[in-house]
Amino acid sequence: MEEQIAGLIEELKIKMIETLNLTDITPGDIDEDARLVGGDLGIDSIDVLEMVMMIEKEYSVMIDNKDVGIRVFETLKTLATYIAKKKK
Amino acid sequence: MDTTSTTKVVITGTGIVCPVGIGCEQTLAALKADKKGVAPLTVFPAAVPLPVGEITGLDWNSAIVPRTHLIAQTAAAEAMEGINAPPDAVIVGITTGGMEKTENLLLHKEDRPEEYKYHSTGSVAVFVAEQTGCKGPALTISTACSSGSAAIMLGLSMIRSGRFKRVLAGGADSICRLTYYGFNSLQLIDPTGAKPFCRNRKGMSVAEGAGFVLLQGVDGETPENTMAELAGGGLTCDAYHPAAPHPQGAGALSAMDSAMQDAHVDLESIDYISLHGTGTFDNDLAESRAVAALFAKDSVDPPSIPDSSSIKGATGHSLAASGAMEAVIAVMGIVNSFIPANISDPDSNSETEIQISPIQKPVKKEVKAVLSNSFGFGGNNASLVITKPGFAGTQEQSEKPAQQNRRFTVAGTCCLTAAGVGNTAKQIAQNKTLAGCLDSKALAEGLPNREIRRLKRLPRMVLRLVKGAIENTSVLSASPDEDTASSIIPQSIFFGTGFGPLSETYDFMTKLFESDEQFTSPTDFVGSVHNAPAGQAAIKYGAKGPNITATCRYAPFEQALLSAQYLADDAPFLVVCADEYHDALSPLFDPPHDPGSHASDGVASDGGAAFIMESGKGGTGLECRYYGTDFKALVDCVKRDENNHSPKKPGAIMVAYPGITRKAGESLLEDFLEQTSLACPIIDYKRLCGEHASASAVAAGISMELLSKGILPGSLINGDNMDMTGKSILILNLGRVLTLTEAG
Repeated sequence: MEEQIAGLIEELKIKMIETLNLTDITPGDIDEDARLVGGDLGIDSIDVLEMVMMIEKEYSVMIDNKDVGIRVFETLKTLATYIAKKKK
Repeated sequence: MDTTSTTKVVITGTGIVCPVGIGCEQTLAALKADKKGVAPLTVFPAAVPLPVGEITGLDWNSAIVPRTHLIAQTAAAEAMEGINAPPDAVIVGITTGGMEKTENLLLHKEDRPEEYKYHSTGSVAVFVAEQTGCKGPALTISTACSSGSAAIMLGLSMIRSGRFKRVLAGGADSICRLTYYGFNSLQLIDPTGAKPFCRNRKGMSVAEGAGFVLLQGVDGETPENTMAELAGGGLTCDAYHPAAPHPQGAGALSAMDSAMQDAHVDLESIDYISLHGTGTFDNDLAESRAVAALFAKDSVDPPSIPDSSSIKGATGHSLAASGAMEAVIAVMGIVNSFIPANISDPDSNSETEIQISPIQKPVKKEVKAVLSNSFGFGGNNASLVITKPGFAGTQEQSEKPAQQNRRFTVAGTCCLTAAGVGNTAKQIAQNKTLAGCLDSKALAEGLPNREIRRLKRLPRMVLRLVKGAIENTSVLSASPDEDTASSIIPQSIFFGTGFGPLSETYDFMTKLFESDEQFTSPTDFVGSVHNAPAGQAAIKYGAKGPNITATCRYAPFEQALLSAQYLADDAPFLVVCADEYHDALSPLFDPPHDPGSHASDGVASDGGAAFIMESGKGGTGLECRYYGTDFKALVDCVKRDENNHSPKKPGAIMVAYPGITRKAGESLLEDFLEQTSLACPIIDYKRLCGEHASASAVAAGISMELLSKGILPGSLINGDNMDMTGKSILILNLGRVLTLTEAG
């Protein structure tokens, strides 16, 4: 499981840069334990929803509850862990 | 149009089409009976139809116009019932225009441009003006969900100026995929239907509808058919976030505050607050905080808040129409002594954080004064105060500054064309073309990547233009001591666009259709609203005054300028107008009208211009003097200037023929020159900057640059350089609309 999460984190870094058009950032710049929303990357609620759409499309994992969303999007690691758990 | 100053604006007609009724009578009966009009979607097929507020009972099948146009026409006709003269102006709040029809056409890969002729948001106002015989301005305000109220506010200001006596103002929108799937992608739809201000609220119900009020200026006696008085209004912008309200409702509070001051009505006199109350978590919380703060000002804690409700539990949220519908319902409340209920949900207790308690059952009581709220994407806030006739006059009044004789001057200009940003006059002097599209990379120059990563072509154009115009103010105002030269930052924004953000709209629809209507982009949805670029500019520069987006395929610049002339206060303001060329959509929505004599040889073009403006200052003026379809009135406008011995004589005319053939346009120009006796060089401005909806903004920008240099280059007029000292340039549109703008 931990290996799977580590792989997912690397995959998500690339997908996040692409989805959110973070053109001045490389995967190496992203700290998976750092606060995702309102942190250094300048990610806000619209970006989170864009990620929600991407995650549903790519991993068939739905995050349509605000309370769940706040917990899941705390860091990139919490997001990867959630996807790994819910992925079919 | 006469110019007598008008003191009072009354409402002499109302019309409404909404999910609980067609017409005022049906709607009133439904609201009194606490009827709900929200049910699963049927307008188009959806995998899981969510609850929406659909109109039933109109004959969609035999209508030749799209859904929005038919809804608008029906409500407008009701507002004009029994009125024998056409309105002097029509103003309609619209967010998506003919989008529902466009979506079906795109889905079936329809490529004939004539099928898309009712696509543009501006086409609804033009249609309503034609149906009501109006020859004055047909204006479209697109400020998302505050559009309808903002349109009514503009009508109020136009009548107060004394230039207009009767204005038909309102809003309309129909359900379409863009808004249905768009709001759903933002997780703002309640799957069980909207429950405004309830503890268990989960979002809105997208709806459709239209509302219109006929506004009339009164100098003396109130007309017999007066139903209510539009006592005042307030427009502000949060300048906070593209889609979320300010958490404390700061902008909402200042809009309400400004409306109350404008109306000269005491807080204690408000009997009913018609809340925006969409049912989304954030809106309802922010609005409740703003309302509580407003009423806490003059009273002891806890604030004494009047009866309030949002009708959106019953009707859903009809976006641009909502503010206008609620204005009509406010009038109904005043005339019939009635307050509609919030909703009749047994589980509708307010949560503790919500500081207001909307009424849960319809109430019968005398209503003398209503405060009506509308808020929208881009942080746009509009509040109106509607009272019993004569009520506002009983309150203490203060002196209002005369609006009609203000002179508007330009403190900074920037043009954006294929030739680049700024320096347009130099390009012209070198006989270089401005037609074409500016390279995307050049567009982003000077804009931080983090600020523009979510923005596509049109908002980037607007931010680039605004930056250029602000920088230009420090050049123009530079004193010998360089250190004291400072930039002028606008407090209000007036944005004009023919077709809005096409890239975002196209990408949203493409993603939706490619995924069999499963996936969309919330970022593209937020970016697709016509006022998104103006919202971005407001956030960047902290512009918290009125934030208006005006749209029209023929003269969006003139609409933005006209809106500014009536709504701008004494602080510096921005007028910006731009359109993007989009490979797939522009040929469908805005094909060359006269392909045989295409002004710029068929070169796909886009661009725009921005102006930092002020009133009551010296400098070169810029003013829209005429907007309408009455040729005689246009000619009279020029003659009046001649008779008034206008200090500046026209030194050149920039002309274009929007929506008609060049041949027909040239014949109109001949008549115009003959009847006005004007004799000066004529410049076909679309040959200069290409064919696009915002071309006249570029023409105005070029004019400002030429006037500041004082020379009209010979290359423009096939002759020698001409001295422009003491002269003006007229920017003239002779086509489907007639406009006259004077720079000088």
